[in-house]
Amino acid sequence: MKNSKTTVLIKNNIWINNPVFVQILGICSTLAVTNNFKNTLIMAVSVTFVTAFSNFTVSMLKSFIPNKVRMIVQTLIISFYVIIVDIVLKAYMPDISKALGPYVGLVITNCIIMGRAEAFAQANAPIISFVDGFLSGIGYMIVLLPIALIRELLSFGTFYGYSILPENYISMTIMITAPSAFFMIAVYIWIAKSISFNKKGDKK
Amino acid sequence: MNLKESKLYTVIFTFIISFAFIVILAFINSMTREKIAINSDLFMIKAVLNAMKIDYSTDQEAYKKFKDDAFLRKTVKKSKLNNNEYSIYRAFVNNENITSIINTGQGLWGEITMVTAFDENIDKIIGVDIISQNETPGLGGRIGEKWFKDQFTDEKIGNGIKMTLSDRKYGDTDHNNSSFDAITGATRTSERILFIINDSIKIMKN
Repeated sequence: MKNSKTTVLIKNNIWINNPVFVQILGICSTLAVTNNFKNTLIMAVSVTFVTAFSNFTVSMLKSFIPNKVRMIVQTLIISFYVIIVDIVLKAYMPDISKALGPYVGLVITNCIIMGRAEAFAQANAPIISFVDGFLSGIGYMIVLLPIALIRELLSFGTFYGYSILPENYISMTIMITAPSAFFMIAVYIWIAKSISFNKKGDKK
Repeated sequence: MNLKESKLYTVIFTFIISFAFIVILAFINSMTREKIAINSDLFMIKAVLNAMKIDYSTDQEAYKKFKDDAFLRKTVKKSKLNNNEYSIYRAFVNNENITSIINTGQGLWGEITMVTAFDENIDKIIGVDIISQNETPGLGGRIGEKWFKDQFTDEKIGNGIKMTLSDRKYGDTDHNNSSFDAITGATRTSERILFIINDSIKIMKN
């Protein structure tokens, strides 16, 4: 029973109801961080961590939270975990903390986290909420990482900071700036939707 | 159900939960505060050593060299130009007397604090490094990357440093042209760096 529920969650978060390319959530960070693969990876890991644990905590406390202050308490829980991530990065991974700068704090504003807390954790048990939050983060990650990979490669000719393209490669300036992320997401949505429409067509 | 939605419960609940989370955060903060302070000190120390091309292999070695007064002499210089005080470090490295200055300037979003090291006659830059900055990650934030900083290594000063457009992917490698290549997509940040470096040159020359 539990296994099948997890399978449904995997399908939902990664594909059918993917937070980024279906629900179009978390777009601000998608536009901002994806010109650098390393920053994107850390951002995605942080979002996954925060979504999983805030979902877990919201679910644990849900029967005590008054309806009126529900969202404020959710925000409190989310910022609690984001501050922990920030402190841990500052103390144990200072270089990464420097590279991400203000973006760590901005994890708080990622709509995916609040969305999952409100849509899932408020109505489900703690463990399954944790799994849902974790999978949502993975759903976010699988959209961001390919976009970051292509953007970093075309804009700087590098992957994870290592030079890959030849020295005389002319960088595409547009890939560095936010508009290219819009194009990339549009293409991503186009491909993903085409695949899912084709699948539906097959079933008929 | 009614009790849960009452005003008193809401106030008490909100108070307790905020209090509990803040206590935990305060605890984590006090546990890591020292480490974070050491990290930020180390960033400054390493930046000064990097700019002056002083080798070190471990954090401890960097710390030891920085604190060794016989090797690295620290002075405070009051600038005649603007009456501000600047930290100056002097050392004898690779058969040269090297002087470095810590200077802070306005970046695009926040302040940029950086070290610039010079040779004895302020004819060339020995190296630069960034101590702190809040530029856009992935764009202006790239001023901390090695290829960007390496552009200034052994750069001739001439009449001051200029910004140039290089056709190479990784910056301007000619160290005699007194120029560096800006970061694509972060021209404003590059301009601020240019300003801070030229300001440091003026302060050192006067």
